[in-house]
Amino acid sequence: MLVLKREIGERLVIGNGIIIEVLSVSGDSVRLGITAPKETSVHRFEVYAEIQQANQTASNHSNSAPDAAVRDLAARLRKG
Amino acid sequence: MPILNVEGTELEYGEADIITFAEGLIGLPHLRRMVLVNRADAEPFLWLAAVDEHETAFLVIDPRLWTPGYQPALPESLKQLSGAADETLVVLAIVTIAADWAASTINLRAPIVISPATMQGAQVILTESAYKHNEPLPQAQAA
Repeated sequence: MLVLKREIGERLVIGNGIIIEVLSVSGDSVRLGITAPKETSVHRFEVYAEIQQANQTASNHSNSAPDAAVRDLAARLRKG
Repeated sequence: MPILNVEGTELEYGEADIITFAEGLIGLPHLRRMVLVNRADAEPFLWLAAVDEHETAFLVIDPRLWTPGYQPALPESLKQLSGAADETLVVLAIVTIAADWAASTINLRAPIVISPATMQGAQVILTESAYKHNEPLPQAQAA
């Protein structure tokens, strides 16, 4: 892992278009400003990890998708 | 015709049926080629099945059938999925089915978006959204 020291107002550039600026520091928390191309998604890591976990749980491998539950729920939704 | 096994049913599919997810699903980057499977017993659900990973599939649904007011703020960059085509992207959401069906949840935070014109797809995480990855069934449906 690359470790860099930056001060408030200083920036980093990643690749050819992602810029991260240290906006402010208060106690244990740091506010960052991120400028990235539209096609680059930026998320809090916890949100990403949550979705990753949700996908794995939803896959029919981890979730043996009980046929009866799928049918019952499908029937319920068909009724609206 | 190649054959896909989805929850115990064998299905034939063609190249034209394959939806390409250039970046895979979130956390599952190897799932790049998927097919949507419509089985009568699961309607209005569909199975989103992986072509390259035997028997991997996700139960998906039009999220508005689950949460009628669902209005995801999709990133502008998704328009590029459609290429030159002017179209309405198809939005689906992954359902985690529970043994007790009433406890099943839907992932409204990271919908699946598909371009019918180009058969390109992506799973996107909505930025700073109040939708959760595990929204329960609405009261009316669960009752």
